[in-house]
Amino acid sequence: MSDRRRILVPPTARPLTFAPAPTESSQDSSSSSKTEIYLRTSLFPDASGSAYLEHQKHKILVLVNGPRPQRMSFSSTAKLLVDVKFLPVSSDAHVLGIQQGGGFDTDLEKSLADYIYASLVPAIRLERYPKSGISVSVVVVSGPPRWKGLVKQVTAACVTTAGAALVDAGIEVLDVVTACAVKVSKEGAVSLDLDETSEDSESVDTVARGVISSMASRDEITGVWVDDDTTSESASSRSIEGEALVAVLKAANSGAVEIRKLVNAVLARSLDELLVEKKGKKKITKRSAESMDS
Amino acid sequence: MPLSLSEESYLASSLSLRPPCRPDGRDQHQFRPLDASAGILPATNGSARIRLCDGGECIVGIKAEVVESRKEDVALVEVQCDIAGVQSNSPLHTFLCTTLETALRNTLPASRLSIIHRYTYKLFIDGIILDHVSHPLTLFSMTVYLALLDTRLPKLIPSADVASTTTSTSSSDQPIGLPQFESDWQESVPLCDKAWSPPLVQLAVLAGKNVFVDPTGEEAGVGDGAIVVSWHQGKVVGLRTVNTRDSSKQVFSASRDVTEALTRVVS
Amino acid sequence: MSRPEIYSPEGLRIDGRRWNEVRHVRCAINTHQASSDGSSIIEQGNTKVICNVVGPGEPTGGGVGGSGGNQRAKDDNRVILTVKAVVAPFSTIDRRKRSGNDNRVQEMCLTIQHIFEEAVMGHLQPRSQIEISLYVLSQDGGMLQACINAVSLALVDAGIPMYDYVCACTAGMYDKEVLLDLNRLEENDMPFLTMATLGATRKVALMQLETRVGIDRLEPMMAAAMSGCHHLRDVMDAEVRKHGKSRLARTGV
Repeated sequence: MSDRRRILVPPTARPLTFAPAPTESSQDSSSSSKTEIYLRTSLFPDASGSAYLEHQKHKILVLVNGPRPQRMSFSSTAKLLVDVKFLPVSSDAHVLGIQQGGGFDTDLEKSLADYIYASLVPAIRLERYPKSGISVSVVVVSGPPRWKGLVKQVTAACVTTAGAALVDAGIEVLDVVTACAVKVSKEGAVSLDLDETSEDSESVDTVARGVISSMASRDEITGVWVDDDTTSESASSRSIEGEALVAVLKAANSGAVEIRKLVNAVLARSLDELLVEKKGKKKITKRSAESMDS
Repeated sequence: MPLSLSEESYLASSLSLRPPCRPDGRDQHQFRPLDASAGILPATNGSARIRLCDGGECIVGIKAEVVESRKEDVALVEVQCDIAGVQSNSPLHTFLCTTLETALRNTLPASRLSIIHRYTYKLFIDGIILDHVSHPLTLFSMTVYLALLDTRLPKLIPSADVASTTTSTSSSDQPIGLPQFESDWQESVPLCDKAWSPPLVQLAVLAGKNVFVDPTGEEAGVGDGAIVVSWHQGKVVGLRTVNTRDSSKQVFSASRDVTEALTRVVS
Repeated sequence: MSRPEIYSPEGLRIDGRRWNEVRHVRCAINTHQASSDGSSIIEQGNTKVICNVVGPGEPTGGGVGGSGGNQRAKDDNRVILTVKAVVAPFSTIDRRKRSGNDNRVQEMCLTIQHIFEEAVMGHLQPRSQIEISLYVLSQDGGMLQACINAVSLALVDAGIPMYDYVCACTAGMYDKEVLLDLNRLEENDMPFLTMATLGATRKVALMQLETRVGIDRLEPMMAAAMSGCHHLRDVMDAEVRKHGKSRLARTGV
C-alpha cells in the first residue's frame, strides 16, 4: 500500500541543483565615470518583468505586471500605474517621514511615482493594449544613508530600472528609457551626479540638481526635473537659465546615453540566456547589441 | 464636454501652426483675464482670492504659528489644499502641494521666519479650489503668491528679545524666552519685501514647437506635453515635465526644443 | 487673565450689542456666475460662508455619506439634494485641519439636506439632482445658521422653486437673559439653540439644542430666535429684490 499521507514526487523529478551564482560580468562601468552599476533583469519569474539595480548605496527593484485585463470602464489604451515604496530599512527615509509629522514621507514617494510615470508613459505603446492595465512597482530596497540632495540620483536609478523591467516584461516600447542625474556647482560647472555619496551632498557647492529621462536612440527626452537645491542666500549668484540650462540638459542627456549602453548590454545578455534556456544545449551565438542600438 | 477626435485634431494643428492660433485668440504668452483680491480674511495672516474668467476660483489663507526650532531640518512651510470635486489625497493634491512646497522651501530662507534664537514661525498655507476647468496649478500658485505678498507677521517687542537672552537662567512665571509681540496689528511687518518675493509656479503646454502659458483645459488636453516652471525673482529655480495626457505618442521633442521653449517662456 | 464680561449690567454684550440685536449681516447673490447656477456669500459678523449650487441636473450618484444610491431608488419622483461642506483650516483662530469626513461637518451637511428637502418643491423636478457646496471661510459662532442662510440664498439665485426662504438664527440664555445671534465667545459660554423657520411664518424647519437648559428657559429663547429668523428673512429678501432690480435694469426692460 502506497503512502497516501505524503505527496510523492512526480516520477520525472530530478534532484535539485543550483545554478552557479551570477558572475560579476554584468557589472559594467560607463566610460565617463568610474561608477559601477549593477543591473540584472528577470529575477522574478512570477512577475511579467523585473529588474534590479545597484549603484552606490541604492538598491532598487522594479516589478512589472501586465498587461492584464481591467474590469473598469472601456479604454482604448492601456492604463499605466506606477507606485513607489521605500522599504523601512532604506536608510533614513523614515527619519525624514517622522520629521514631517508621522509615518513615511509619502509625499516623496508620490512625487517620485509621478515623475517615473511621466518618464515612462511616452515610451510605451499603450495603444497596443486596449482594456488593460500595466502596473510598475518600484521598491527602493536601500537608499543612501542620508537623503538630502540625493533624491534626484535615486529618481534616475528608479527610471532606468523601470525602463529595463518594461523591456523584460515584453511590453512594446518605442525605446528603452534611461535616466541620469546631474548637478551644477556654484561656479556653473555641470557634472554627472553619479558617484556622489551622502557626505559630499552636504557640501554647499551644488546649487542645482536635476534628472533627465531620455530615449537615447530616438534622441528624445521624456522627462526633465530640475530644482535649485539651496535657499536664495547662496544661490543668488547663479541660476539655471538659458545657456546654463542647455548645458545641464546636454550633460544629463549624454549621461543617459552612457547608461543606455549598459542597459543594452544587460538586456542583450539576458536575451541570450533566455534563448539558451529555450533551445536547450544548442549554443546561440552572442547577439550583438547593434540591433538595439540602431 | 470632451472634444471629438476631429475637434481635437483641429485644435492640435492650429496650436502647432507658426504663428499659432489659440481658440480664444490669445497670444502665446498671454494670460487670461483674472480677478484678484488680497486680504479678504481678517482672521488670517495673509489671504487672497483669484478668479479666472472660466469660473476657476481659488481662496488661500495663510496662518503663521510660533514653533520651537529644534533642528535645521524642520519644515517651515506646509501647503495643503482642498479641491472641489476631487477626492482628498488624490495625485492632483499631492502634485499641487509638493510642487509648491518644494519651490517655497528651496527659496525661502529660514532667517526670514526666525523670531529669536529658539523660536521660529511656521507657515501653514491652505488653499480651497472652489472650481477649476483648466489645470489648477497656475491658479493655485498665483493665489498663494498673492497671499504671501499679503502676509504680515506680528512685530516682535525688542525688549522681550533682550530679556529672554539675559534672564534665560532665572525662572519667571512665563516660559523662558517666549517671544512677546506687539498687539497692534498696524505695527505688523510684511513677510515679503524688496529683498524677497515668493516663488511662482507656472504650467506651460508644448504643442509642436510652440509654448503656451496659462493653457485652458482643452489646450492642455491636445498638447504634446507640459512643463512646470518654478520662478523666483526673475530666475528659473525648478523645471519639471508632467504629462497631461495618457497617450503614448505625446513624446515631446528633443532637448533643444525644451530649452528653446524655456527661453521663450522666460521672455 | 480676566474673563471678558459676557453681558454687562448696562445691558451691553462683548461686541457692544443689545440682547436683541443681530450681528451685521452682509449678503450677496449671484457671485459666481461662471462656475455655478446659483451662488451666494453671506457674512454674519465675522462668520463668512460661500455657497454654490449646481442644478437641477442629471443625477451623478453618490450623495452625503454615500447614501445617494439608495435614496435615488426610493425617491425617484423627487429631486435629490447633495450637500458638501468644506471648512477651511484657516477659518478658526488657531489653524485646525479637519479631515474630509469630519463627523461634525458631515452631520451639518445631513441636517441642511433634510431641511431643504422639505423647503424645496422637489416634486416639480423628478429624477434630478441639486448639488450644494458650502465653503466656510471664517467662523465666529453660528456656522450652521450662516450655512443655512447661504444655501437659502443660493437656491433662490438658482431659480429653484421653494415654498419660502429658510432663515436660521441662534439664541442663547445667559443667566436669565436671552441673547440673540451669538458670536464664538458667547457660544462657548452659555446654552444656545439654533432655529430655522420657513420664511416669516411660525413654521419651524429646524431646532437644534445641544446644551443643557431648563425647560422654563426654552420658550423665551425660541421666541427670540424666531424673531431673529424673521429679521434675517427681511434682510435676505431685500438683497434678492435689490439684485433682481439691478438685473432687470441691465436687461433694459
